[in-house]
Amino acid sequence: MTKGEKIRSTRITAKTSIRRLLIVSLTILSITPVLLLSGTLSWQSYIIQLAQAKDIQSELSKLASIQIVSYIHEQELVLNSVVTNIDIISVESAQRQLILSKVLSSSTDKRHGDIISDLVLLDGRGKEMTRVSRSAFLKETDLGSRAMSDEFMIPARSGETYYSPVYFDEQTGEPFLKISVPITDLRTMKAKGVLSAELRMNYIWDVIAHIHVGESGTVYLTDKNGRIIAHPNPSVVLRGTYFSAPERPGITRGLNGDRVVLATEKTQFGEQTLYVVTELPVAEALRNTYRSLFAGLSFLAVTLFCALALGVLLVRRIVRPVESLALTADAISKGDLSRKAEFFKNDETGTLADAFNGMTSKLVKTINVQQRQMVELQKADDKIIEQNEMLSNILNSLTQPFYVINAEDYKVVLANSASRFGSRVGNSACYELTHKADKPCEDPEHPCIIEKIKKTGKPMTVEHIHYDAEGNQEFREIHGYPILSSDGKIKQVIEYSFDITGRRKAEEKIKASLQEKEVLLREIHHRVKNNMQIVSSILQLQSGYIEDKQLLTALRESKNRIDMMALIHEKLYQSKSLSRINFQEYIDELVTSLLISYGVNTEIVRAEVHAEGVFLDINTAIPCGLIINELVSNCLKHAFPGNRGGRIVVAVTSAVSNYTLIVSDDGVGFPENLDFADTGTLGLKLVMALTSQLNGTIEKKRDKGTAFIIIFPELKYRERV
Amino acid sequence: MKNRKMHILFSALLISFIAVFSFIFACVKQEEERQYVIGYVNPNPEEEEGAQGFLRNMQRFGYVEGKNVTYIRTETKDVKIIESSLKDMVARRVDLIFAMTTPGAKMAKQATQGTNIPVVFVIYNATGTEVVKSLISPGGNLTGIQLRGSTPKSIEFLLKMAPQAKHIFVPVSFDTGAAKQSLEDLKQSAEKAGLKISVAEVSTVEELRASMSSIPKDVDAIFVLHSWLVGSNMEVVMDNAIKRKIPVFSAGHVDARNGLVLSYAPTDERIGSQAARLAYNILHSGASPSDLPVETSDFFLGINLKTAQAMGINIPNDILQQADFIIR
Repeated sequence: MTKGEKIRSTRITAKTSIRRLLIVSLTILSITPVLLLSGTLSWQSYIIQLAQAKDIQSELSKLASIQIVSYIHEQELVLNSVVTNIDIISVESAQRQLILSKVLSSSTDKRHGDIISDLVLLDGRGKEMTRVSRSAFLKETDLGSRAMSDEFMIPARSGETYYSPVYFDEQTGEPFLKISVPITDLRTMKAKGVLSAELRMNYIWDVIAHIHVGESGTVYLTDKNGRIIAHPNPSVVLRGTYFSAPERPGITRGLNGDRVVLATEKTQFGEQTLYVVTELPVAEALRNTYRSLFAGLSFLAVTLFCALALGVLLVRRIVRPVESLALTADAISKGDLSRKAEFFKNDETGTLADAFNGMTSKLVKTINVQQRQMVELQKADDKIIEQNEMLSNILNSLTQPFYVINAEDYKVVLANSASRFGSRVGNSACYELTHKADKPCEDPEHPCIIEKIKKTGKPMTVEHIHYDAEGNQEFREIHGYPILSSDGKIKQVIEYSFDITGRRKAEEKIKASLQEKEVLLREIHHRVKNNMQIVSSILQLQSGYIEDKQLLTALRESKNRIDMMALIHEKLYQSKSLSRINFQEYIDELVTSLLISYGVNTEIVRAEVHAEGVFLDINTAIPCGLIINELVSNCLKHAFPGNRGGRIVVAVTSAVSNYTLIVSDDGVGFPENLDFADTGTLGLKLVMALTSQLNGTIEKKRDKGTAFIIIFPELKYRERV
Repeated sequence: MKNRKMHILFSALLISFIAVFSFIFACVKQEEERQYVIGYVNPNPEEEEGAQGFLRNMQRFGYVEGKNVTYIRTETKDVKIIESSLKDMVARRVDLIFAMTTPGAKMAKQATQGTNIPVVFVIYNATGTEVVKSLISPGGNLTGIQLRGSTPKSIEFLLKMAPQAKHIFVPVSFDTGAAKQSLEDLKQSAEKAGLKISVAEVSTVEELRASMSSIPKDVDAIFVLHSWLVGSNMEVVMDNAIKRKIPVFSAGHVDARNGLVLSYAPTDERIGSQAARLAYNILHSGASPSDLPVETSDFFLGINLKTAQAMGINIPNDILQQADFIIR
């Protein structure tokens, strides 16, 4: 298959090719104006020339006709002059012979030869009286009668000149015409004779031969039957040629069958009619038209040649490069990227080819890059597919529903199998699928998570009551996660939910159990407190029977210690939480009870407690409370002797992981020479022991009074099973 | 491949363009330079004027010897040479053969039989000698000019000029077909006119001279027919005629210059013109001789007034008025 066929086999067909379009366009553009111009000029020239030719032909025909008529009438005049001037009938025979011979000889034309070939005088009965001839030698004995001939009868009867039809010599074919003039008796006005002459029509041949019709035109004479009687070429006459000429001038087939401009002029001789025909070959008559046409055609041919040459040039310079580029593009389109456009010339096509090749090279590079990217994309796509499959598997492996909802219309667009949405994914809204409702959730107890996410823009978790396919109610913990569009708007929401129906039920059970245990614990604390108060009351009662101050003090201190512990239990069962004690309240009551226990005038000795926000469990609270009990008791006993007034401050603060307990007073101060760790008193021994139990440290400061600073961590006891 | 095809197309286009113009130019040039070869047969070499009439008129029709036409002339009385020459002309496929005299026309007719080589002849009697069957439709490849027809009128002129004439002397050599034919015509006219004819048949100039020396005493006129020998030795005839003051008449050809008192016959110029026109129609127009009727020649009256006056012959005015040529 050739290159051209390859191109045609693709999209380019012969009809749509630029080559054909270009050549046809150029040809049409070049030919049309020349064709129109030359055609118009030629047509105008044709019309004018034809009209002129017809006019000229007609004029020439008339001229020829006039000449012929004049020649024939001239002979008639000769005959008439004889019969009018001479009484030829009456003269002697020899004289008649002489007269007729003179007439015969005078009818000779130097140029055209003999005109009258035979001259005969007839008497009143048609008998030949005298006859002279050009060719025949006649004697008296040769004379006969012509009484029954037209040449005698017609002029004798009518008194008018008679013209015979043209007749032809049988042997030679030469035409002749007879003219007979009557000889009238002036007395009777009857014909007493006729003078008849036989005219050789040959002389007219030369007459018309000297009438020039253009360069190659001819004039000829025909009789009424169309037989040619005079023609420049005698052979035409002699061989008996017939031609029926049209009466109206115009273009027709001429005598030789050629196309001629022909004009006919009718000539009348008595009863006879002759036709003078002039014909001029169309080629000559319309020569200028043909020249114009030829010039037009020459221009056309030259223009066509130029157009074709230009077309070929343009084909070579434009179409060929375009075809080559098309071929190259076709090959490239079929995958042959190694194909290069042929470089033609340093013109636009060359630039185009160069650019095309550059583009191809870049295309190759781009395609290589694309191919690599495609491979990578394919890999990524495979990976995505794999991940999607994995994600799908994961999603489907999830036993809890997972789905994606359009934020606008709430349509579920993706759901795992656990969602049990089936084929309704993509068609139904989430509230239709999960709530069996026809609109999103509006219940404040069950707010729509999508609305909440749309308001906050943050992931949300809600608990909803959903209904499964069978309409069973189930508690769901729903987690929502927004999916943002590129403009930051929430377009979709991921939801996944957990069935917390069991958990909710377990929690309710646990809650009920805890409430039950809390009641029991509060009851225990209450009974412990009651028991301790019973012990305290017993000690109180017992102290009423003891006089010994030391013992009494011991009992009272013991009672205070038991009250302190009872107070703790009381605080525990009174608090909302059984594990933590509001230490502010506890210390307030503890210090107050101590002031009361020691009978301190609170007007004189004021006590301040600072433990706001400090909550301690019972394991730390009891030792800590015992320490505060011992130190405050010690203050009340020793710091303000007599009626010394003062202030006792108990402060508990927490810092990081340690608590700081400060018990200070502005009393007399702890004796300087006394080691508070080794005083031998139970109270300070307890303080030291409890500090140690708390894994704390104790420090005593003596500034305007005494301050004990104990730093301890909150005790973490192992949970008891 | 495409490039090559375009080169071929462009070259073909250019070559075609040049070829067409070259062809047209060549045709025009060929038409202008068309060379013709015409065979010329004249078994009567002495009769030069007829040939000159044909050649002059051929020039008038555009056929100029040495330019566009070549004549193969064979002017001899040797029949064998003429026959050989005619064979050569046929072999060379000449364009036309111009044949003078009846023998020449007959030999040309025989030589060209079966060929399309046209023959134009000039003879005395075309149908009487069976060169053609009909004047109007000659058929075959021959046409031409017939000279016959002037003898009767010549006798009439003779009688008008010499009304007392009773005896006519006719020296003749039957070396042409026309001689016999014209003698027969003369006899018919003379018989009609009541004239006595003495025919002196001669074969040589000597016989002619002898014959002219022994003209009967009562001879009133001498009549010259279409005869080679006599026509080419008119001085012999005229010498004796002038000595005897016997007028010489002729219906052969108009040549009053050599002493003929009156001749009524075709002129060589008119014969040549008619023959050349027929040749032109054949060569130029491509007409077939069979379509060209044999033409009869026109007759012209020539009078040698000088000879007539020398012989004391009074020529009537009406005859003089008819004369086409008068030598005074």
